[in-house]
Amino acid sequence: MDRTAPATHSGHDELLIARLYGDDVDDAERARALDLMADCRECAGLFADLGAIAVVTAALPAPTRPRDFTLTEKDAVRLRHQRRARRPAILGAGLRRSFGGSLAALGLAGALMTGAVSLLGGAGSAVTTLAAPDYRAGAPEVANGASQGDLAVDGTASASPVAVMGPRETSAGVGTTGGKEATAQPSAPAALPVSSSQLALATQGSGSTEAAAQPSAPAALPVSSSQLAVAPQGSGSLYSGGSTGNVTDSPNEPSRGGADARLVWLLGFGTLFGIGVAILILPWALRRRGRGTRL
Amino acid sequence: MADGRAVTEAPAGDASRADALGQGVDLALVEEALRGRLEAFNQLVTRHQDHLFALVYRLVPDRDQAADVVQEAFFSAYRNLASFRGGSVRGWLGRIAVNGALDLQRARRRRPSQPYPEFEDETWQPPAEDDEEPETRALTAERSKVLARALAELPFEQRNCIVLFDVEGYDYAEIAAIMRVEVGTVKSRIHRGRLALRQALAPDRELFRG
Repeated sequence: MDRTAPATHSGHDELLIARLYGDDVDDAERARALDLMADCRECAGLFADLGAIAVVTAALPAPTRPRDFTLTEKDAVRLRHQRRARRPAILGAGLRRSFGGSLAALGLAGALMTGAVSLLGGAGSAVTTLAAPDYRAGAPEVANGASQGDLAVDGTASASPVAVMGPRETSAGVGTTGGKEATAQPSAPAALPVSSSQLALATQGSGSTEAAAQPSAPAALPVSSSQLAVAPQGSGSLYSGGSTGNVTDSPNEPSRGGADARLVWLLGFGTLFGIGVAILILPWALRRRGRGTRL
Repeated sequence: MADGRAVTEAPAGDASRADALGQGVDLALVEEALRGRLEAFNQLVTRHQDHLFALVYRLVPDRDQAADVVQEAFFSAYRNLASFRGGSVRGWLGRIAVNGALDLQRARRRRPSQPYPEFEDETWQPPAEDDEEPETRALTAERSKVLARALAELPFEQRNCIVLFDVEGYDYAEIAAIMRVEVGTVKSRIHRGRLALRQALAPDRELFRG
């Protein structure tokens, strides 16, 4: 057989020969490797060398050990003590991981949910804003949502709801829609002696209602107690109206209270997440730092 | 040589019988050690310390560090004796020692301080056979020394795989589990390591031919 000169061997796949020696080839590769070995002297020599080296490696003599590794009684006592000490540590580590993981998961889930609610709530408010009636125009629909007994006029829970008045007629009726400010219109302050709380409730949308009542002094109106205008829209938007001594004050910015609440929740969940992560990684960080100091 | 592993010439039946006997003795010693008898554990140490030191020294070619790893492996075995789940005590101790050696290698890689000392260890001598000719004995000694030096110069990933596969007789899957890599990676490291070993041994090739 006329084998090729070593000069052409440089282009041959030596790894393939090594894989053939290690029996790590498929049929096609085996055939190719065998062809190489049949045609190239160097490839055949490589295969033979790998075999010789493996034989010598397997028979490599053991080096003499520098010392005896048997344990002394003192070692045994120390190791038994470590074994006892490690059991609670292992248990503690398990509890710590579970607790930290749970806190972190809870915090993350809560933060995500709060964020999602915040986004959805914002979108809901925006939609409702577009659909909301203009209370300043005195739209009677405002009254439609107010049920009897929701409002006590003259201190009596009379059957005459204040809802018969539009917001324009209501001296301190305040309605806000979405981001739109609806100022209270003190059109006929004297016409309505309201001695108790005055409530104009405009229910639009199906969200939950939050109301913040603020007492207002009866300066311009004989309003003795709080005035409350609640226009729940979308999801839990909070509208507060009325201010001390001036019923014509406009309500505060819409949704501000809700945003504050969400921010508080977000911070709470974020803190929870942070504590959980800290519980998880703090021992590792301390160990790493200690190791770094030692070495 | 189905998987490229060198075949030993010892009779298979005798070897397996001796292995079974040895494992039985090991298990009995573990039982005794679990009852608190330190002497039983020390008998285990005596039976396996040569093997463990040879194994670790091939992975960590520094005598002092290798000795520390082996000592720590026996400490760890004593501490965790209750977690031994049966099987081969030799294999269990070997895994503990190999993990210790790998930890040391990783630590050295993170903080490379100085390379391993020049491999001039005169204790790395094969045991002399009584019927060996002086010339053969000298050749065997020289061959082992050259090979050990070449092994020490390999990248440690390749060296670990070759030592565990060719010298210690672990299979691919066991090595993959110990090294926490894929079986394909182990195979690749062995093939490439063998090629690198051959390259390193090129000046002394005649020692290994014929």
